[in-house]
Amino acid sequence: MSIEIIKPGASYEFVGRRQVFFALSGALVLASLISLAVLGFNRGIDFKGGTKIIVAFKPDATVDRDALRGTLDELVRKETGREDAGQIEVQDFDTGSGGGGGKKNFMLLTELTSLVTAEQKKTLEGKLRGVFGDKAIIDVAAEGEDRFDVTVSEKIAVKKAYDDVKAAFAEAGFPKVTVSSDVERQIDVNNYKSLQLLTEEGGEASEAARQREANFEADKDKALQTAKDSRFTITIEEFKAKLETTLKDKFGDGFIRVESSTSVSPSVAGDMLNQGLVAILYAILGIVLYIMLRFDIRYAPGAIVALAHDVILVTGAFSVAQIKFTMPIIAAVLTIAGYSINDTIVVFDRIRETIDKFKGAPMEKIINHAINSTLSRTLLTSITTLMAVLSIFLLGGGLIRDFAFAMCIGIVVGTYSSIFVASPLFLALHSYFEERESADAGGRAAAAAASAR
Amino acid sequence: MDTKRNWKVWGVVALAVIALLQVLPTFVPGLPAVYTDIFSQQLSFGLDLKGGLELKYTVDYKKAIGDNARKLKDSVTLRLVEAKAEKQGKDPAALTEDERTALAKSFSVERPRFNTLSITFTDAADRALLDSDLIATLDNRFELRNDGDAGATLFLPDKAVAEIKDEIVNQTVSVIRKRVDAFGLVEPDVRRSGDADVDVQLPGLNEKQMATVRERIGQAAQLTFRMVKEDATFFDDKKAAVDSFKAENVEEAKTLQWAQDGRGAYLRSERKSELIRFLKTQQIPDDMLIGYEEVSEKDVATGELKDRYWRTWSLNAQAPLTGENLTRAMVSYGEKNEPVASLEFDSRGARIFGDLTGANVGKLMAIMLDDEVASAPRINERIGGGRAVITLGGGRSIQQMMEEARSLVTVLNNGAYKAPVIKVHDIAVGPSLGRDAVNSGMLSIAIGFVLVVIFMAFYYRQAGLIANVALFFNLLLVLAGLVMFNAALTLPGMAGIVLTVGMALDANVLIFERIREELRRGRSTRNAIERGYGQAFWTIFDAQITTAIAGVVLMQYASGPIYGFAVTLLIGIACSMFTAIVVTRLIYNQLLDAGKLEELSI
Repeated sequence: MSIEIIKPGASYEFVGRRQVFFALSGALVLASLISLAVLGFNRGIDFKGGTKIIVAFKPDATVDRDALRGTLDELVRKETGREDAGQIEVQDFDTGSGGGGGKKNFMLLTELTSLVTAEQKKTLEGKLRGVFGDKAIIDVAAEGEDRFDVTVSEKIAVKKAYDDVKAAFAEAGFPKVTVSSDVERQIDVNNYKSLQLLTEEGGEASEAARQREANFEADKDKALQTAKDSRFTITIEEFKAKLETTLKDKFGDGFIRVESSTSVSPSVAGDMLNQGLVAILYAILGIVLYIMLRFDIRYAPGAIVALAHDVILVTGAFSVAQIKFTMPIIAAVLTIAGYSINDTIVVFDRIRETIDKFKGAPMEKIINHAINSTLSRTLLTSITTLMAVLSIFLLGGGLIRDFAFAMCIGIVVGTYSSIFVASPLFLALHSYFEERESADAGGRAAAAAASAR
Repeated sequence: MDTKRNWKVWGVVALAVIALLQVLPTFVPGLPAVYTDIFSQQLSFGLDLKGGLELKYTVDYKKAIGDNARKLKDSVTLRLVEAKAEKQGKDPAALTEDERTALAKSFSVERPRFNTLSITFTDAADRALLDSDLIATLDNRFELRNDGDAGATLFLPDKAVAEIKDEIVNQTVSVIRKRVDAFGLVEPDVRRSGDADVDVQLPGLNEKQMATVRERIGQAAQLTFRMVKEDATFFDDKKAAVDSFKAENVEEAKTLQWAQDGRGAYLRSERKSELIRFLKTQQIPDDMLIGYEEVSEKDVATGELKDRYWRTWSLNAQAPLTGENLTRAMVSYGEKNEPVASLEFDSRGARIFGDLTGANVGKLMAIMLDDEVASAPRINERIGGGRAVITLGGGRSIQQMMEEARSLVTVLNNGAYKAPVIKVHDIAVGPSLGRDAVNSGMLSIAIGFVLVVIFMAFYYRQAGLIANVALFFNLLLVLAGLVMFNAALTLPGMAGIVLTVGMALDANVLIFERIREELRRGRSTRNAIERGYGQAFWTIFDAQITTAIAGVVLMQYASGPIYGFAVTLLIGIACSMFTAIVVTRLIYNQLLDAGKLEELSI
C-alpha cells in the first residue's frame, strides 16, 4: 500500500470561489506595488555602491574575517545611530604567495560613504577659502562623498598647499585628510605606466620592476617638492580615522594601519539592469508564443499573469521586510519565475487533457477536476522543493539565508498562483470567448434570417 | 532483451563514466598528468565562493582630453586659414598648399596645457576671425577668453573636464565588462572606484587564461591608420643623445641603439621600455607621433628566427582613419595561410581608406593598435572596398597566432577605450562570501538534498529509490556540463541547480502519479509503466521547454551574473529531462525484463 497525501478521487472546490482569491491576490499585489513604490528596495552595495577599505595586520595577528566584520558592524551602528549596519563584506586581500609583503590584508566593503554632516562641510569650505583665497572655485561633492575639489587661477606650490589644508582641517577637528593634486595624479599615472611596461616585459618578479615599485614613493616625493598646480582634491578620511582608532583598540599591536579607503560605484550598471528587463520581456513573449502554439490563446494570459503575480509578490516581500536586495537575489527571483511557469504549465496540461476527455462538460467542473487530479503532484513537488530550500533558510547564514527566503516565498506563491490565479483566469477567458462566439452566432443567425426575408 | 535497449544502457553507462572523468579533477587533487592532460578543465568557483584576482586600473583620461585638444588645434588652424582667405577675397576651397602655409604664418596655435590652446595673431586685426561661432562649430565645450588685443585662449572649463572624465571612466568600465564577458568567463565583478579607477575582480582562472585576460584588458585597442613621416629628420641627430643616455642609464638602456636604413634614422632595442624611457627625455614635435614595432627577422632559407627587436617609427600625429569607423573584425587567413585579423569598415571609413591610399601611392602606411605598429606596408595602389588586414607578429606557432587573432578580434569588436588604462595592481583576493557562510551554505544545501532523497524513498518506496539514482546522476551530469562550458559555479548558479533538481524531481513525481492512476484503473505493471511514462512525457516536455525558452532568451540578451544563471539553468534542464525520463525508464525496463517486478512498489 502506498502513501498518499491526497486520496484519489478527491474533489475540492477551487475555481468556484475564484472571486475570493482574485480579491486576495489583487490585494497582495497592490500592497507589494505600494511597498515597492514607497519603501523601495533596500539596495545593497551591488546596486548602490559604497566604500572599500583595505586594512593591514601583522602576519601573526589574531584576527579573522568574522572579528573584523563584527568590529565594523559595531562601528557603523555607533556612528550612524542605526539599528542595522547594512551590508558588510570582508574579503581576504592579497592572498597570493607573495603574502602582501609579509602582511595580512583584508578588504572591507560597507555601504557607508560619509560621516561628515552638511554643516561641517560648510565650515570646512570656509577653511578652504582661508587657504586658497576668495577667487578659488570650490566644488563640494554630492552627498555621500566627503570630497572637495578646488581650482585656483594661478598655479601654487603643491607641498605648501597640502600642509596648509591639513593644518586648517586639523583646526576644524578633522586631522585625517588626504590632499591630492592633478600633478600628483599624473606622477602616479606615469609611475604605474613604467611599472606596467616593466612587468609586461619581465614579469612581476623582475628586478627592474621591483626596484621601480620600491622607489615609487620616494620618486613621487622628490617630484612633489618642486611641483606647482592649480587643481586640488581634498578628501576627509573621517571614517578611515575612526576605523583606525577602533581597530587599534581592538586588535592592539597586531593592527598595522588602514591602507586605503575609496568609494566604489555599483557593480550592477544601469544598462545591465535595462538589458535584463528587455531580456525578461522577450522571455515572456517567447513563452506566450509557445503556449499559443502548443495550447491556445486562452491559456497565455493566465500563465503570464501568474508569473507576474509571483515575481511582484516576492520582490514586494523583500521591500516590506527591507531585506538587502543583492545580485544573487535577482537570480532567486529568476529561479522563482522558472518554477512558477513550470508549475502553471503542468496544471494547464491537465486541463487540456480533461477537456478532451469530458467533451461538453461545464468548464468550471473540468478545471476543478484537473486541479484535483494534479493536486497530489503539486503538493508533493512543492513540499520536496520547499524542504530543500527551508533547510538552506534555517541553516545557512547571511546572504544565503536571504536567498533561501526568496525561494521559500516563491515556491509558496508559485504553487498558489497556478491553482488560484492562472486556472480561474483561463476560465474567465474561456467564458469570454464562448460568449462572444455565441453572440456572433446569434448575430449571424439574425442576419441570415433578415436576408432570407 | 532487445539490442536497441542494450545499446541505450551502454550509452548511459558510457555517459556516466565520461561525466565522472570530467568532474574528477575538480574534487580529487594530485591525479597523474596522463589523466589531467586529457581532462584538463576543472570546475571553477565564482568570486563569491572562492575568490580570485583583483586587477585595479587607472584611466589616463587626461591623455584623451589632451589628444582631443591636439585635434582641435589642427581644426582651429584649418578654419583660421580659411577664414583669413575669405577675408582676403579668395576661395578657401581653391587654396594651394603653399598659399595655406603662407596664411598659417600669420598666427600661431600652441597647446600649453592638456585642456588649453593659446592662439596669437601677428596682426591684431585678425583677432576678429576667431569668434565664438567658429569655436562652437568645432567643439562647444571649449570656452574662449581674450589675452590682450592679438591673442586668445581656448580652454576646457573644469566642469567640462570633470564631465568628460566621468564619461570616459564609465565608458571604460562598460568596455572592460564587455571584454571580460566575451571571453566566456562567468561573473566578473567590475566597478568604478575612487576618482578615475576601475576595479576588476575575476574568479579563479588558470595561468594561461589569466595572461590573456590581463593582456586584453590592458589594451586600449585604439585602432588607427597613420602615414609614416618619411621626411622626418627627428632621429637624424639623436645619436649623441642616445649615447649619453646610455652612459647615464647603463642598466636600463642596455640594448638601446641608434640605427639607420634606407628610410631614415630610427632607434632599436630588445625592450620597448628602453625606447619609451629614452624618448621621454626628448621633446617630440606636436605633429609627430612615435610608434613601436616588434620586428622578427627570419632567415629566408631556413625560416629560423635570426633577430627580434623593437624599432621606432616616425608617424604623422594625425590619424585619418580610426577604429570608430570599424564595422566588424573577424579571423581569416593570410597569403601563407596564417591567421590574421581582417577588418571591415563602414561606408565613411571605406571612403577615407580609399582616399588615403589613393593619395599616398608608393608611401608607407602604419596600421596601429595603441602605440604599437602592427605593420607598415607600402601602398601599391588605391584600395577600395573598405577592407584591411592586421597581420600578427611572426616567429610563433600557428596555434598561438590563432589564439591571438581570436582575442584581438574580440577586443576590436567590443570597442576601444576612450583613454588608455594603466594597471595599478594585480592581487589575489579571497571569497566575498565568508568561508563559514560558504560552508554553512554548502552544508544546508547537502542537508536539503538528503532530506529530499529520504522523502522520495519513503513516499514512493522502490520508485523513489529509482528517482534518487536519477537525481544523483543528474547532479553529476550538471557538474560535468558546467566543467565543459567553462562556467564558474556561484551562489546564483547553485540556485539554478536547485531549481533544476526540483524540476527533475517534479518530472518523476508526475510520472509516478500517472503510474499510480493507471494501476488504480487495474492495469498490469508493464502496461501501467508504459502508459504512465507516455502520458507524463508531454506534460514534462511542455513545462521544461517553456522554462528553457526563458533561459535561452536570458542567455542571448543578458550579461554577467544573469548569463551565468541562464547557462546553468539550460544545462540543468537538458540533464534533468534526460535522467528523469530516459534513465528511470531504462531502469524500470531492465527490472521488468529481469522479472524482478511482479508488483510495483510505488
